[in-house]
Amino acid sequence: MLKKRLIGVVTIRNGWVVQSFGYKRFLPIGDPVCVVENLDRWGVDEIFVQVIDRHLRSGGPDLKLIARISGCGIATPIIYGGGIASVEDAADVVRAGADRICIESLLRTNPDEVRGIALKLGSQALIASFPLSIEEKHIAWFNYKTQEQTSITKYVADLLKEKIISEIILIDRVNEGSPNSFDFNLLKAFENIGVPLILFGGLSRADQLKKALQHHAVSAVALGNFLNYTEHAVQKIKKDLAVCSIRPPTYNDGGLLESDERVSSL
Amino acid sequence: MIKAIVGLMDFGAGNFASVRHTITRLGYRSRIIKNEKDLQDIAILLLPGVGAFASAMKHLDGIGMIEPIREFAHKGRPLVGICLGMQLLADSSSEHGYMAGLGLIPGEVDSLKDPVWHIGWNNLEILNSKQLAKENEGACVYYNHSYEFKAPQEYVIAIARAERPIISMVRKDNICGFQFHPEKSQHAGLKLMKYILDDLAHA
Repeated sequence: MLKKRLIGVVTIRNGWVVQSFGYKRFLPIGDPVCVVENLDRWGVDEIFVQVIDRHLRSGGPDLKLIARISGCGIATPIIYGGGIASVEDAADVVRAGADRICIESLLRTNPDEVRGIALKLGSQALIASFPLSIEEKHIAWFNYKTQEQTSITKYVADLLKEKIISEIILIDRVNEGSPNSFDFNLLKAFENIGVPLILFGGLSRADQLKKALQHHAVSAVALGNFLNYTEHAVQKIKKDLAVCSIRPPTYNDGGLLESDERVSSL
Repeated sequence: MIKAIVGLMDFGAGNFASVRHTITRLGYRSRIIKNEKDLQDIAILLLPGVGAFASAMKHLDGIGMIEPIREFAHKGRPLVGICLGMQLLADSSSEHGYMAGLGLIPGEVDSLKDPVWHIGWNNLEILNSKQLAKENEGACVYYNHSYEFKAPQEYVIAIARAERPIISMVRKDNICGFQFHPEKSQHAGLKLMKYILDDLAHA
């Protein structure tokens, strides 16, 4: 059966990987290529590279960065998000080396372009992310460009039901970076639309990750900061989540020897 | 010793970097194929794949490569398709309307329907290939597709199980297809890719 996934999130600001706390405070980690190479070696199931300041730079997606990453022979699927505003941008991102793309503001500004991307690349390559919070018992969708919060419009909700987007990343925007704080109330508006969910923001401990992965609508959990605090964090988390039908831990050094032997010695 | 060349077909949209890196790591040289002349001295032609069926076939048609690829395969020269590349081997696809494929392995490409997508890691169940099964049975590999190649059983060498069986690998003589992405399946994918490339290169 299809496994549930552990996704490593690489948040990039000003060209550097950062630890993010609610997308408000940032601490530097290092070079994106080194961080992605580490996640690849540690055996995460997918890597989500999110460049969070492209909308401020009006430069489109960071194609040089994607090419640098893919040029290293990363053997883990790469999702890229940041600055994608058109079908051409999306195709360029895949051509540069990403396997899937993630859009966010395009859902608000140009939904027809979203349909065009699905037509060009296929819906399996298309993911949408929603930075959310609960405000006065209602789900609020944050707009990074205007710094305003809105509700999810019927138009966008209907678009999701068309199944042109294959997965949704639900981001707990407020709790992002804070241990074990993901707000499961965010799932309520999305859990029955038939599009698999990836949860991100404040998920850290095994009990909360298990709760997330055992939810019928959740296909993956995504972790950023928390993979950087502990040695062999990916292997340890995967061992703890063995009951959740997650792919067993591996260690990928690019060789052809049995990788399981290396994991058991960790 | 001169290393054999694996030719990578350019669809105008695909991601070559990872496949190219994998090929090099496995001891082969690679070449991007843009026209018929590029096919001359390659050992294996590889069709990598991200994108939609129709746009890939239209691109191949636009650069005049449909007939040269068919001729390459009909001469018994080895050909490998990955994901969309495997689906292009079929007779036709219903993705965004009817479109003829390369017609190299009988069968049609149709939407998965239930489930709508097959995305993520799944185990390989190998049929009809004892040698392949010996080292790769149960290998966990990465899939990312919403359409599937419906091929006759005699050409199916591996499946995955979701809510129902989904064809994972097809083979007809020297033509082989992976529905998953071996180049994105870490250690397990590297091993499978090595087995198939070595087998075809020495066929």
